[in-house]
Amino acid sequence: MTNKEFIEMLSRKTSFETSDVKELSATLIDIMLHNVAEGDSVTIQGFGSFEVREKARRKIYNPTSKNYMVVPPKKTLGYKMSAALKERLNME
Amino acid sequence: MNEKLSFQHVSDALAQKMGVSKKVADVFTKAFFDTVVDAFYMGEEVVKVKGLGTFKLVVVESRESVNVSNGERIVIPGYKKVAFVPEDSVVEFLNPEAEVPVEEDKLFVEEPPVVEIPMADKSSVLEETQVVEDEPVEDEVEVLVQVAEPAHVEEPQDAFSGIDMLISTPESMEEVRQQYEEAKAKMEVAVEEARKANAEKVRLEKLLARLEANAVPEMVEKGEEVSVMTEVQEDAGEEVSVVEASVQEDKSEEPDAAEEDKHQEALNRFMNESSRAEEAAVKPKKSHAMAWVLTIVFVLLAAICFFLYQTFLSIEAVETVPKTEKKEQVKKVNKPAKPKKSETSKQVEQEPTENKQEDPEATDKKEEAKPSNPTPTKPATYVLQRGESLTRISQKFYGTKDSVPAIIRVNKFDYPNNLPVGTVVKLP
Repeated sequence: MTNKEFIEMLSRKTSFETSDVKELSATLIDIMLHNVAEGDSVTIQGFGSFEVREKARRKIYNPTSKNYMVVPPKKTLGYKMSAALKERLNME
Repeated sequence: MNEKLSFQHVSDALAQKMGVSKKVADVFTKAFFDTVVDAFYMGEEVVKVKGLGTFKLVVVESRESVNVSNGERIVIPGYKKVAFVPEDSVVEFLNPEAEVPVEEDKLFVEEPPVVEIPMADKSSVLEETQVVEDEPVEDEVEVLVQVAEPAHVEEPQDAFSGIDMLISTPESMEEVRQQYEEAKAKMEVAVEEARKANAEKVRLEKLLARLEANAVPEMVEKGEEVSVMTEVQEDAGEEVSVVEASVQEDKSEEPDAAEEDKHQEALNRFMNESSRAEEAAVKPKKSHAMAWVLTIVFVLLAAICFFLYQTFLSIEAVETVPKTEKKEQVKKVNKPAKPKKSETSKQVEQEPTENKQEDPEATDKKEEAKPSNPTPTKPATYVLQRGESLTRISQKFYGTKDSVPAIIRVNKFDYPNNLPVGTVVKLP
């Protein structure tokens, strides 16, 4: 499902205009990311939680130039689905 | 910081920022995440949300494990889970400063055989190595000179003082002494200059050698040359001291004018020696004068060599890559070939039908696994047919391939992946 389909589905669900939905979802994501970037974790009940995860620095080997390089540590956005969602998805 | 923010917090912030009522924000936020889940219910496997990332429905297969407390076999059932991969823009947003994608490793220096120096740091590294590698050589020279100096400076002095004590001819002695003093000063100056010139020479030659060939052995040779030069001086000094010593011995026996002559002779000899030493030192002195001209030339040469080296490196990199790859490929081809042969020969010795059995196994699995429905009738043992594997048997009698480890455990097969046709398999 592409972002376009997602926005359409959301606008049907909320009966908002697609342009409004786009704006609202962009703002929502912006708020979440800012909160997460400050070190908080954002938990959405029934969906899961978002938090910053730190990836350690690691060494890589370039076989062409035969050089060892260091990839510096970086932060990434981690998501863990909630237990409720897991239950819902595996009901059958 | 480090707070657990709830759904409410986010939706309130949304209401505030967009100027909508809290109710609307609540509804929207709820709908936003529900839509993702609903998409999965509708049979979507991937949901892309712009600005956030991709949610993906992943099926985790069932697997068998052991209960840690009582050692019982348990099957962990498979399940579906939602995996999330953040968008690149999100990762960039979270890493505002540390945007260096790949960096040269400092540990890289630990490998001595690799001569490749990173392009940007090359000049600085060269300077560093120059400084570092020059020092020990200079020290060597100094040590040698120090060894050489006492030989012809201190001992002769003692000898002369001894002469002063024994012979009462102050005028001539003073002259001799002055001459000696002058010679000594000259010697010292010469030695000093020779040392400087040598150091300069060594340094320049090292620079050249390093740039042109990256060869270390040459430096060692240069260092040896230097030591040879100083050894010559040392020899001279020693000869002088020997002469003085002999003079001293003679004097103690017959303190006469003849002795003075001898002393004069010795002095002349000494002067000759020192002049010889000076000559030895003058050669590098000349080179020292030329050194500054040479430095400029060498620096220019070095710069040219550096740029040539750079361009050649890039060309070589392109050329050598396919070669090495080919070699690796050849190696790869060779390596697996050998064990295969040995394996096959073993199989031929032990179970001749094995080879033919393996290939149909793999292909048959895919084709026949689907039609063969799990039959509930389970005999205690089963005779392995041609083209069958434990996975197929497990699928046949248990309806799942998770029981393969159990079958292997009950039967205690040594090579569960290589079973001959007709093997009686016990079914747990």
